[in-house]
Amino acid sequence: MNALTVLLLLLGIHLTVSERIRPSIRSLAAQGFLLALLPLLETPGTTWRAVALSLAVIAGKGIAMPAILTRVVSRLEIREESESLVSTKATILLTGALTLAAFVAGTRFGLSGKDELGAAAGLALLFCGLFRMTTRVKAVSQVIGFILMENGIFLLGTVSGGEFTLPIELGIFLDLFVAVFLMGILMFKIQRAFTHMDFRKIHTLKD
Amino acid sequence: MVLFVALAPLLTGIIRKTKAFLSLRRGAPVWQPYADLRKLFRRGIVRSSTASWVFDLSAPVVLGGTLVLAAATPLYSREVPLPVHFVLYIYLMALPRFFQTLAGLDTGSAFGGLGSSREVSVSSMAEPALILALCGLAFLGGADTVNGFLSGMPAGSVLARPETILIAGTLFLLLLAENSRIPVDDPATHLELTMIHEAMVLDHSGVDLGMIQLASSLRIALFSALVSAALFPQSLSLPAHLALPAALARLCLFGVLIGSVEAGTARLRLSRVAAFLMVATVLASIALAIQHAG
Repeated sequence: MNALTVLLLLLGIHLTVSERIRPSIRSLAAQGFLLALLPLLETPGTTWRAVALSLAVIAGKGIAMPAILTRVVSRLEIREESESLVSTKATILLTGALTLAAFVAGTRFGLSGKDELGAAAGLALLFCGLFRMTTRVKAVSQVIGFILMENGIFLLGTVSGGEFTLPIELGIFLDLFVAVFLMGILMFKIQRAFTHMDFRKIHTLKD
Repeated sequence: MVLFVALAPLLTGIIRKTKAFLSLRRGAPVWQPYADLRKLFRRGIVRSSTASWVFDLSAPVVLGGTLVLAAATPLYSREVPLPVHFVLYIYLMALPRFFQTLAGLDTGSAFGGLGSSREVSVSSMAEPALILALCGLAFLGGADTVNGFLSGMPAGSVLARPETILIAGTLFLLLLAENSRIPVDDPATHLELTMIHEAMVLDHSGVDLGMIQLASSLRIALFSALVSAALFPQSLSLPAHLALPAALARLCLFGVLIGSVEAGTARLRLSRVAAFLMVATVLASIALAIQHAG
């Protein structure tokens, strides 16, 4: 359990720091598969709800979303390196600082009684995802940050337990899936209209 | 420990053989480093006319300091000839390097100074990661001597204490950086402008060079002993007849591992080395945070 959390955290850090898109998508898929193990490990005994959630996570986060992103990347012929507003070294340092802050917050405020490490790691993934989403220049990269953030919420939700979290989790999950799907379509449209995906230039409208 | 020193060049040999094998070359035999050492120890020393006593002193100090380090590291068993506090251990690691850089500057050649300055900048950036990693191990093992915390590690599988995986990862990154292996420095390069460690020892020859090469083989072996002891502290409490095969297996494993990392990665630009070492520092600090939380 702890090893799984640490692995999720490491993949999250790789996702925040990585500059190339395809390895990021691979890490995202790996994270999806690992997240699918969580509901099975969290619930004592195997319930059909846990199995269903786990399968849904594999299908969505492990296969579908990475597939959509890969398709977008290859269709739009996006360059491998994704630009960031912050330099690589600063990104590494800030990722470390955000993770430490998440651990301090997670343990200080007692987000979860039983699994402090899981809660702190979930919070760290959330921060890292937010960081990636706000500092990247390309839209695809920002979507990856968005999914990373959602993975953090998923981890946080699963370890803090509770009876009603499962349906809520499924609901969020569905929203996210639709969002990624829509963003995929939207990106084709943006590409056609602007011939690039750089949000700094999108502010000036084309006629 | 004598055996450990005797086996250290074999590790260098295995690394080179693995690299050659992975790049589809035949490569020198694994005992080539021994032949090199034998050749070097029979040769005389050629000394720069501007060099002072610091240069003459450097090679013995480098080898001697590394031997003291070996005496403080648990290699096969929990007992070591010289138990030292882990901060002293870090200083002992820095001592040979200090003399090495001084010797590089002492000869007055341009490349020596260039290599020395790069070596110092790399190692100073590696320092925080090393301190954090050893702190993490000390907390986990509940002691402050190097052999004490490595043998005091909680028993059980590595998966039960995932922070040690992070610490071992940090130590492995440091192994690559501190021993001038490929993502940071290329030990086999012949282009002086890109050298780090090799530029520094360009002016050494004969017995001096032999001592330095033996010391650097020993240093990699020491780092790999640290990494494996952090991951598998059980390997330190093996019965006596199993200790030697285990040590040999560890040697081969690390040789193949380092060799494949070197063959599979490209050298980083000098400006990216800082980012590489920052990753090591961040990993170590997260390991500490995990210990605090879990």
